[in-house]
Amino acid sequence: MKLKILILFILLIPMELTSQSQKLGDLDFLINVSNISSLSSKETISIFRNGRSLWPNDQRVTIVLPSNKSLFAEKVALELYGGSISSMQKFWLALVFQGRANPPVFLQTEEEIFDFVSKNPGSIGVVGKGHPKFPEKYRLTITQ
Amino acid sequence: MNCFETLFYKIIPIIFCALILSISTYAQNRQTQFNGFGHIEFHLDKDENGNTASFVMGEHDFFITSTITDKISFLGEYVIRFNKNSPTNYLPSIERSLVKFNYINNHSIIVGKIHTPVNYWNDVYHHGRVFFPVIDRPIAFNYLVPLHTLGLQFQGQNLGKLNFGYDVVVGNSINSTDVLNKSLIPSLTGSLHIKPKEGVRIGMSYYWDNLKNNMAGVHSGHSVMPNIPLDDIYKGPVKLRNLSFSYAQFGDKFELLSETVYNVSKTDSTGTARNYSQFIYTGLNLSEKSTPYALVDYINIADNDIHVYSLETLKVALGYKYSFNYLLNIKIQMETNWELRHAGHSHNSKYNGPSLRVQVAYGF
Repeated sequence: MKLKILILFILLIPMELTSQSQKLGDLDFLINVSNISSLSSKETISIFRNGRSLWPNDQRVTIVLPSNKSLFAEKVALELYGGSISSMQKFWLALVFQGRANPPVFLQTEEEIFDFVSKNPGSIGVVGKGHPKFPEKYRLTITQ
Repeated sequence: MNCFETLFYKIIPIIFCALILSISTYAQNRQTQFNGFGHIEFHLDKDENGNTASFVMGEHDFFITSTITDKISFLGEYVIRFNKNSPTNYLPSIERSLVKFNYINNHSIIVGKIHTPVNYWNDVYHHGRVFFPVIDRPIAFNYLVPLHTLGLQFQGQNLGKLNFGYDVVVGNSINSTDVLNKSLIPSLTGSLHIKPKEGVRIGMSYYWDNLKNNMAGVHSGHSVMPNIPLDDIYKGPVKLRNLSFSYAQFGDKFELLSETVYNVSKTDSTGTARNYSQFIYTGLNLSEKSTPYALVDYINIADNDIHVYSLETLKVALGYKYSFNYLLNIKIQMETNWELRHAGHSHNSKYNGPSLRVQVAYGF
């Protein structure tokens, strides 16, 4: 009888198994990984949500994000994580605390992100769209 | 206080803290990150002995991660908590300390002390109260869930379309200390989960452990029922099996966490004891910062269980969580506990409450 009640608890749990889709129109991406210059939007979102720990060449995936004082952090948080800057930071802190992710690098300005990605193989970063000093050599093209 | 006690209780903690601070300062170029978590509570309680109002110093948790190479990383979690038997009233403990080898994308081998991946809570929240959706862990953590394992873990995550994950753990038995397993036979844990949608995780696990000698209450395991005289506690072999099921959904509007545990302890003296527990939390996000919630927490440990001894309790609570940001929240919780059976008490029923709990949880 008690086991039946237990099973009933489990069966009553609602499940809503649809997937989310988001657009990345207001962002530019850059990457420093040999032989990768384009990714689909689905793959890109997955990588920025801890979907991959190593690149195909065995380099560690290092995610570079704007810090909370950055002017474009709000756009990044909304388009990549579907929420606020605080929720983006909570997302990462929780994953790191679980031991299931390496911490991302948070930097304040576009220039700092450009510099970091260019100097650190394995890194992938994001900035607001259309920055005049965007390093084209490291541009990641997003395909559908 | 003799020299050894002075060394253990005063000097070592100071060195330990200095070491942590020095690591964090040195951290930037080595990609080492230091975080801390803590909480302070206020309890307004009503029980058989009358009313009490207490401010309570909670656990303080020091957390370090370091990427040693592209494929190897370190994680440590060290907690200082109140202990009335300590001369300083506080004792440190190593909650997690592990080295992880990420040998291929999303697959890792881990060696060290871990929180046994037997359900969502034990695998996700650890000792970071700022992440807890409610004030306390489920009651099952005190008596049924094997909390820690020191050993070898094989882990995979985010595999395929459903973000499948697995954990297989071979480690010391829960009656062992962190330096001695009293048997050749290890404990085994198998855990599977899927994350079909952002914020949703469904998982189940199985824990297998043949204890050579019953010894509940050690750090790796769980507690024996309070008020049982030490000499009366069963010390023979126990076959312990633990099946868990978790459903977690933390969306923008609605939050739900269900933790189900079915646990069997078998001894030659009293046969097979079948125990179970159910924890359900639901929260409604009125905004990103504001979440009223409710929880039900029930546990039933059979009369013939002599691993942790008999207990049946039900806790019901209503609460409210306000998050100032991801590093600071306050939870206010009104709760009532019904103790329907307890091996350490002569009476059959006890009513505790209602009690008020307030918790300020923070990270830094």
